[in-house]
Amino acid sequence: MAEPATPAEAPLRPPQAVMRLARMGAAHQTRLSFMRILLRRLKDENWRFERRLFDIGADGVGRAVYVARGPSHSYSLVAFSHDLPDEKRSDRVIAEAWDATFALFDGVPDAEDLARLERNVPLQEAGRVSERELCLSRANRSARLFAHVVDRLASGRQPDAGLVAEVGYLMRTTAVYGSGKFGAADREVIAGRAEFAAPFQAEMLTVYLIREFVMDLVEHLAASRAPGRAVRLDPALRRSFSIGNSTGLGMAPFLVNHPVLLNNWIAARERAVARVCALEKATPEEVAHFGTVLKRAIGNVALWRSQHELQVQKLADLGADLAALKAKAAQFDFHAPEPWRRLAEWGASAMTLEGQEQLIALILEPYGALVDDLAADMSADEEAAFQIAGQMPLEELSELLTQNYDWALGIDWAAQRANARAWYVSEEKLEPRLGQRFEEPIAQFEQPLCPGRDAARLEQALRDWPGHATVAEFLLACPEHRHIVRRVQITGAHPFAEIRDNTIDAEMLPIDMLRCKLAFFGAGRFDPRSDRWVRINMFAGAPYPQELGTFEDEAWAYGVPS
Amino acid sequence: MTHSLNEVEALARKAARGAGYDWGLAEEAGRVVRWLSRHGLPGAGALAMALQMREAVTLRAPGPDDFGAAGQGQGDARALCPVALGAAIADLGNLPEPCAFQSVAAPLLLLPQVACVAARSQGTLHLEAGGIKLWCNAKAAAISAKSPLKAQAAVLIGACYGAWTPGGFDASSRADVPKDTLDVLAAFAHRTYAPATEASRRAGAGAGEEAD
Repeated sequence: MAEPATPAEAPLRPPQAVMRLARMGAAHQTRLSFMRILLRRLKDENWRFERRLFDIGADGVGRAVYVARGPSHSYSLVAFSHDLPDEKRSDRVIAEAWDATFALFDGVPDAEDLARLERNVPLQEAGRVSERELCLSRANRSARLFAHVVDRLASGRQPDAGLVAEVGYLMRTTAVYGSGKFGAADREVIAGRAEFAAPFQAEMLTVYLIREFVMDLVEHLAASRAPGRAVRLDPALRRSFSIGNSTGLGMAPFLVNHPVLLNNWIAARERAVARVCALEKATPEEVAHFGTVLKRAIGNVALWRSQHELQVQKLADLGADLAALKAKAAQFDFHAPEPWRRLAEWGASAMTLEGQEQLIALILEPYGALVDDLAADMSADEEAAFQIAGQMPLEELSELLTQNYDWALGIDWAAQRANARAWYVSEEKLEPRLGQRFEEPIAQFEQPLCPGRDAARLEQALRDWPGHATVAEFLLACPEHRHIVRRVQITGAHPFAEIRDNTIDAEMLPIDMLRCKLAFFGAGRFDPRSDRWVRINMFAGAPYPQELGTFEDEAWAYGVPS
Repeated sequence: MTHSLNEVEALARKAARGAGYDWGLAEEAGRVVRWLSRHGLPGAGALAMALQMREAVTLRAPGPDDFGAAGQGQGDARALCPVALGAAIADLGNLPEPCAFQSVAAPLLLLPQVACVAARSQGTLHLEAGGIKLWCNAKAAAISAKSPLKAQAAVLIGACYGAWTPGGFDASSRADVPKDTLDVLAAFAHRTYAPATEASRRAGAGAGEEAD
């Protein structure tokens, strides 16, 4: 029997364009976003969900356990609900108390497990979890929406739909830790399980179950306050609720610290685009599917709010781009060859980065059968890539530098603006920060998060060495370049591994890094609160666990259709 | 209380950086300690020992002469730094035969890097240090003593053609690090953290306080 043929792929968009921060900062969720990968699997494998424990008082204090049962493993969200005074509610990672705290348990916890978790999970970073726990998380109530929803439901009425749309969530997580943090299981403990093969699936499952818990919690609080009078949420309104998330700088270094993973995420998305662009023709059904999702994307932008100056401009751009796209699509010749490639090419010339990145997400929508398998390529064997190829001649290393770091070699690194920032870790709660190199005493604490400058220094050092000398010889004499040599070698086989922009420039916006990562998670409605932290919605429009089996709306991530 | 391998790798990396290694070598130290921990070997303890010796300026970095037939580091009584030497061994790939070093600090730290070379060469390599023997190939490793913590020893690395039985250690998905070792590494790691100031708290940090 013949192997299934690999679909044809048009040429990929070049990393020189794709890996610029401005474009990464315009990323949108796609079919390959981790939330969508997760929900496809839960549905396809007919996962079963059970609220095993819900022991929460009328004051909102108590604990709950939600179990998700898959074909080979079960996982439990263990939730602790607290009574947090308003003044203690903070999105900062240095907070010490939350409205609710969570752990994702590997299996179904017994009484002893729950007692152990109750002693540790509410403390978050100050507690310890074990190899039985896959994730640790916490969330705070929305000051504007949570009480409103409980009040309304308790009085027998539905909450104000406008306010729900504006805020979007009842609770927002301020961290979702996985991969061995605070004693939890390492990724390799679970990486061999099919449900965790794609990146961040345990984290996404945690948030998905948190959403279920929070909805149960508000309805429970309303019912406790007004037994007999309280009503449940209207199902359509209920589905529009997301879990919010507040993400600060801590997430930004991840993309730099995991170059192979970053490459594999971007490469999977770009290959998906290339497969669709290689299609000779589109069926009328596929064109109609595209039109439907485009309409929903337009509706999504209309509801997407931000106060941040940059995002307000980007939303205006995106709105105008999508209006232009709609007009273009209405008279576009989808019968001529390679319709999607031609449409994407038009987009690249006629739209801003926001619109361009939205368009490449939209053209994937009709083609799940063609692109969804690429999700399997999004994880990374970082161990293999860690090894330096010591026998590589320096002339080959120089070629890689020229090829993949030309953007950095052209920067005037003597200029203060180019070096204005330094990434460091504060003593306090070990929080990543971004400081002003020439104004604060932080340079000695600098983290290795500026590949561009390091590449330029390497290029300078290599000028004194003969091209036939080996990397091993060079590094024996110059160990200070080891970190960047590793990165440069990684770009040889992983062209999307490096952000091709200066990460310590005076004008650099950390929110661009955050947005790229969060878009791959599947987040929406990015709402930057400054240049370095952003609020988002997760799972807005998604079916709840009990609805998964019968839910057919694959494009749920574009929001509930109007 | 055990630690995840990620935790112990991160601690080792930061500790090595705090002790003064460049980031690239600090990353090697992290990977080496992770590998040893996964094999149930006291990698964190070996690194703590090496970092303390580095602090006492009793270590020297390897140079090209250390891999030649001619006298290595003659007149220098200091032991070779195992972090830098291990990285150099991994980079070289094809080791001179035999490959001998008069004195290496915490030689256990070489094992993961030697294993790496063995994996690439598809053969078995043998490492002997102060009476302790180690064998490794692409798939397995063996060690002749349970507590192979030597402060320093002469090291001989070569191809192994004889029979050996994998084992002598307990593979583990957790790191079990003694408290005093953790304290040593944490103290080195602490040097990588910038003291918090009110200005940096305000200007440099992530999420803010405003309500929603």
